[in-house]
Amino acid sequence: MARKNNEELNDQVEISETGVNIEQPKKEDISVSQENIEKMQESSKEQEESKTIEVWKKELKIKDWIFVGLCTFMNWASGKSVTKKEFEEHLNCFLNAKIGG
Amino acid sequence: MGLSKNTITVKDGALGSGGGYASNAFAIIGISEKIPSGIITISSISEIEDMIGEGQLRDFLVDAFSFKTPPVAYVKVIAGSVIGTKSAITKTGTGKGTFTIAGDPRNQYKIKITIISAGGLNVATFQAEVDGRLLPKATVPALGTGYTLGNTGLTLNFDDGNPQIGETAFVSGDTFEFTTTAPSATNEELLNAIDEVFEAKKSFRLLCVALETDKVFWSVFQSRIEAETDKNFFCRGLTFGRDINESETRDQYITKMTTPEQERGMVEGKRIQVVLSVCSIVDAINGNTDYRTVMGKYLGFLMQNKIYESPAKTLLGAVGGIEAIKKYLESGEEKSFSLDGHIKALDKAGFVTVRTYHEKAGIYFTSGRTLCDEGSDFGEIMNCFVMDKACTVVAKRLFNFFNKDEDIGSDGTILGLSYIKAYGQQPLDDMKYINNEISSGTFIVPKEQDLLKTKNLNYFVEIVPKGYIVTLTGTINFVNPYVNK
Repeated sequence: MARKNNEELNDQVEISETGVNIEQPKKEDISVSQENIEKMQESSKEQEESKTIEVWKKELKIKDWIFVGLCTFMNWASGKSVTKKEFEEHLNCFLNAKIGG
Repeated sequence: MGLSKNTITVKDGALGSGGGYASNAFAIIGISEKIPSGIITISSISEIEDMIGEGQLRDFLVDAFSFKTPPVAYVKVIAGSVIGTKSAITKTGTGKGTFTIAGDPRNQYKIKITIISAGGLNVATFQAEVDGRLLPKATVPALGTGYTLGNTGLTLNFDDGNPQIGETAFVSGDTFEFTTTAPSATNEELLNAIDEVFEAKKSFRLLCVALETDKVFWSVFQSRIEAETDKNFFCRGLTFGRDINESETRDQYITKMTTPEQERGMVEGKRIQVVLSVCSIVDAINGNTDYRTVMGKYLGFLMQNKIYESPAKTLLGAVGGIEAIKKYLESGEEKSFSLDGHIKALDKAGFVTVRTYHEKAGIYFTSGRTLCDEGSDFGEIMNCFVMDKACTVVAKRLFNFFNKDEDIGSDGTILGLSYIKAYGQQPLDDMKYINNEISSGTFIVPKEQDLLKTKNLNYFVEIVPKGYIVTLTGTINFVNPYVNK
């Protein structure tokens, strides 16, 4: 996956070289981008990883009452596993939901 | 040395199954026409409309202030991003004209427009009725000139419907009816407002949410208020649930509201009360009568009475300003909730309702139920208030003990134990002998405490609450004095 992304990045660099007014990225810029890619990959991996809602509550520092509301809203019972992305999406949905349903 | 902290654990002894306390103050959050910044204080019914204008919050405050002893209200008005809805217009009559409705409703309204005299735009006259209250007669305005419908936030834009020869735009007796729902807020908006109220550090015994809520919010509300007890702030929450909708019968509604897997939810809410009854209530400002949840009346009733008095205490009399319990159209007949079936089920499920008695006219609260098991010590609001006050006054009294030096006797125990006991006993004696709020209260400090090692003073408070006569069982029979001679 990382290799593929690097290849794509190199492709982009080459495309930039053909441009008239675009500066070629320095080597250090590329290395920074690679770091970012790795971070993105880690983040993406985290988003896909399922953990219990109690773990997400702790990791994301969700207040007790908001967590209780989210569980009632989603009809979640203790021990339910979701990805971080799912957890955050449902949390957002709960916070923006109308009072009284 | 750790941070000074007084940790109070409130224990539920399940009796039913086996000073600084602001008794006349409440906090309330709701939506209204005017949105003052921060938290405002209202202490008189005459201030309500000036300070917050029209809306559902206004109605609740008017009801709460409609009793003899005015409470103090700390009011947080939120804008509420969920706008109220407008129903389709139901028209009767032969006129070709109609109107469209612009603007957002500020409350739940039932609106009726009746054509008084026939004609077209700028000729015909009409009268508007908002929740049964008649507005002054007016001329159907010309095209492009809207009619402002009182203080509802709505404007009616009339159209003559292009009548042909022999037809009339508006005919005398034509009626147009529509309803609106009140604006509301999101969970986040309401939670932020609750945070703001608590952060203001006002003293109050009830936090009221003047918005229709459901089991999701009830669970949040219970947890949020409970969290404040960690800071030794003890209060209870009050809100209201939905009324019957047109597509369900009374039985269906009761089943939904009382079944844990359905709308009742699993919430064990010792700190919250949810009002479900809707009644015809006389507005204490404008004299208009319309259907409202009895939450405002309940709030005012609680505030006017002693903290240990049940809102269902018949000796207090019927609740003033409530004309009738709402009836619902079912199989072509208007029916109210049955006492032994519907009201009993709602009460058992933990909801606040109203009822009537055979013995005396008027409408009374059924009980002071909290949203928890009826066998709990905190199944009714009186014990909750009494416990909250005890916790508050004891916490305030013992504040002076943080980091206080004590002499230690030769046996390692605290020498001034009797002084500490007497000092802690005082607020409980005040509750018993001055305010008559408890049957008795005892402040206990165990002798065996190693203060030098633990730097902690253990104490216990035991309270005997008042008993309440919920039912009466008697036997009456004739006696012949001659036989017993």
